[in-house]
Amino acid sequence: MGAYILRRLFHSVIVLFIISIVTFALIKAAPGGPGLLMDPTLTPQDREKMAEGLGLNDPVPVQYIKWVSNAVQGDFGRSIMQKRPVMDLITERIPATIELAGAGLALAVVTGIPLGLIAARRANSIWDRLIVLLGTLGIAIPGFWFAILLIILFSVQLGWLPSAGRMTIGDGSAIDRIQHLILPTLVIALYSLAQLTYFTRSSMLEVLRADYIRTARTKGLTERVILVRHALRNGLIPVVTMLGLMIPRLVGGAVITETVFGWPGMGRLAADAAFQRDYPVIMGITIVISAIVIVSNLLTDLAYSLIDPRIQLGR
Amino acid sequence: MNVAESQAEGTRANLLVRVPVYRSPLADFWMRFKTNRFAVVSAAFLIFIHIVSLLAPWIAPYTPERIDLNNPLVRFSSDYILGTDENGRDVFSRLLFGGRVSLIVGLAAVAISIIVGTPLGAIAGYAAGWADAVIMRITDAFLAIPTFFLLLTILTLFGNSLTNIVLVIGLTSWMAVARIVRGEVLKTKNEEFVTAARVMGASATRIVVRHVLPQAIPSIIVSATLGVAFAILTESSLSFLGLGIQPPLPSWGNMLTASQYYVWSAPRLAVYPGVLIVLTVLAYNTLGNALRDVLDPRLRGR
Repeated sequence: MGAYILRRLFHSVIVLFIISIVTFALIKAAPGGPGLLMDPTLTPQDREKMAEGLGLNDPVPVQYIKWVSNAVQGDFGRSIMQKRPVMDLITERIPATIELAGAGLALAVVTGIPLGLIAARRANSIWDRLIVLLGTLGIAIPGFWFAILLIILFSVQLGWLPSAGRMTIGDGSAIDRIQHLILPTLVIALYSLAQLTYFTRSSMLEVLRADYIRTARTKGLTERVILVRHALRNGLIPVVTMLGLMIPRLVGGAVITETVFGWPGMGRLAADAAFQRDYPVIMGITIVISAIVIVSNLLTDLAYSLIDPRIQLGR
Repeated sequence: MNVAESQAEGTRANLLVRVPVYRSPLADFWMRFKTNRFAVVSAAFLIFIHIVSLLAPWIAPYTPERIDLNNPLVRFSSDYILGTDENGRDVFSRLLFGGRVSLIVGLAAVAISIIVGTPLGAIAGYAAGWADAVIMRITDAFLAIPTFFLLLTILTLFGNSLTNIVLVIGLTSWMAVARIVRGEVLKTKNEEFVTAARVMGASATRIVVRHVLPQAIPSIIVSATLGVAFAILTESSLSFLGLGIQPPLPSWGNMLTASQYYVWSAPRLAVYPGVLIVLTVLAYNTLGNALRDVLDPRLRGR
């Protein structure tokens, strides 16, 4: 068990290392490079002096090490547009994104898994077909378009829910916040929900076909007991791994969702930064989010090894 | 077969040599494929939408950039069958040309992901050892980066031309192909026909290209079909944000950008491009899943 954790930890560090190289290579390869930062009115002599000061004349490996050691300490430089440290901008925006992504993930789990179970239990019934159809649609509908449709229906036509922001200025009560959260949560959850439904369904179908389920049936157990006591435990193990794999896509969806609904999170920060070509911000966000994803994948792996006793026997 | 039938068979057998029914692989494929009605409908729709988009310059009544400031936000008229947008541009023409851009981006991006993913997967699977370890860690790393942020980073640094968008979507979606090819290569490389080729002195490159990779083609086709759907969704999301295809060049994604400001007065502007994206993505997904069922021999007979 200890060796397994160490091995996974080692892999995570390597993956993070590769990401840092890719990101650094991107800065170096970009037309203009980090020199983009400089004021165009500077004379060549000033420019040279600044390059020296910024360490741009160092050999590339030295630059990389400097950049990484700063990044490890949470220093991603300053925003070009806002003239503030990138890390400050990110930490300001993280809570809103966690709120939204967390709500989305929760919605996907509490509806996606039961829907998948119902579909698997009544495979090929009308319910199964309906759920599969909804899942297929959920995967094909672009999040931003779903958002526009929801706004047209619930904000424009019915006037039930607000179409933008995290709270009404001057209000901010719990009810107000929840009202603002509903539509963005539906949008960010859509894809994960559909994916989770599908995945739970196919995983359960696989398990329900196993010999030990047939044995349970011949023992005369009720379908309910078979499903809950025998099939569920094994059927949900792969679903846990799936949850880990869904996180990058979920966070990516935050860019779209937050932009459409004016939600003040990291996704919107990234979209704005991309629009203004504020690349220190967007690179900082990419690395911070990658790190979050890697940690969450590591935790999923650990959870997986705790739930599934077979893992410990393997390497 | 009952007794009478088998007797009849017996007498006929004197005249005819019975041969097992043979169908060409293509006929066999079609036999299996056509049983899935959804897949046939999807394929027909895709053929239609590709042809129509390809012929956009001949079908469209106007150029997509033509502005008619006297007729903005027309609902529909004999001049503009689907109405006009906020600049008085013909929505029908823009849908046709927009489809052209969206489909080209989807197909080209997938082509790139195959060109990058296939050799990486083949090398990892066939060479094994440290090459495998290095390639798979790189694949893991790309899977761990939330791709959308990486896309934004690259487009910010390098600019969002059509070529860059295609390249960037392709270069961030090769991982699935690499993994699938690696899996197929691992499965095939110890088959007897591969060993035979090796014994005959074929080089590693020749073995992989001539004997191992052809076995992976069905899986690559399936992955590519699903990949087009994903690439179209990605392009439309980027263009919607204003970071993808730049107006006045239309794409289904960027036609929706402006539409969000007219949800109060002209919600239909948001409907047409969205429906086309959903139908196209749905059709590619359905087709991909159907192809997996037809092409994957392991699933046959289920």
